[in-house]
Amino acid sequence: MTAPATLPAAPGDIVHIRRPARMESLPDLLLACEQACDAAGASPEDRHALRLALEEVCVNVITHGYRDLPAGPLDLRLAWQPPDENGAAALRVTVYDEGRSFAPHDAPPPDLGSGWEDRRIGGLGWHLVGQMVEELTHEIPPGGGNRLTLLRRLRP
Amino acid sequence: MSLAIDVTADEPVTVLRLTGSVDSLTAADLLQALSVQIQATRVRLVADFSDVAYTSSAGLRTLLATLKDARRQGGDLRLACVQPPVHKVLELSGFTSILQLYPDVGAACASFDNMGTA
Repeated sequence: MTAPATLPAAPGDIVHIRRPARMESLPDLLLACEQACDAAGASPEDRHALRLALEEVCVNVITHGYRDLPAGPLDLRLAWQPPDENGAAALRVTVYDEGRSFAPHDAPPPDLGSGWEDRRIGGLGWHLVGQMVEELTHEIPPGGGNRLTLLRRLRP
Repeated sequence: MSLAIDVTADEPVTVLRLTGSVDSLTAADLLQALSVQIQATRVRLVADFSDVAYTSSAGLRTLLATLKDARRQGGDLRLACVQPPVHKVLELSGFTSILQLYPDVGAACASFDNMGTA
């Protein structure tokens, strides 16, 4: 295990961690998510949702974004947003990579209803991400790659 | 990010007791453990999810692939004691309509009684 991510000291501060985009980096990345959840006082449900969304996104970057390419960086930032006018705080997760650009909103719709014989194996990752967060924004930075931003409002 | 798999072959049902997370780092181990059973024609499988608090799409792929293999050979993969966070993921993924879930391992094992001889 490499050095831990930086902990946020106050609302709005971020946890920032950068690792090679390899499966071995996943525990460190998910640990950073746990740390941000601790700092934000996130509920078990929020923690579960953020971990799931982050795992799906990171695995997509590692296995698709950098497929057939040397593993470049996977850069993760987590920021706590103080409560809005409705009293809901949020965690904003930004994942940046320099791999092949993708378009999460163009992912084929998931197969949720076929019988077992016809049910497609796979294709659920982006669907689950979308179910776990309120906002999902994707942009291609000027130099290429991907910057994906997820926002989950924290349940009291 | 770790998963312990404890296999008990209790003819005619094989129970796999899982402890940990069924995720991108562990799903391959689970698939391997399940495949070994199917290759040995032990196709009546129960996965005990009592101590699994987390699964991701990688785990779902393993469950569906195994379910298909088992059913094509006259068996099934059935789940026992699925905890609420995992149940939610199964539900959101449309898996509750194809997987048979039971409240405990005994009920899951007993559910195979009416399948006749494998």
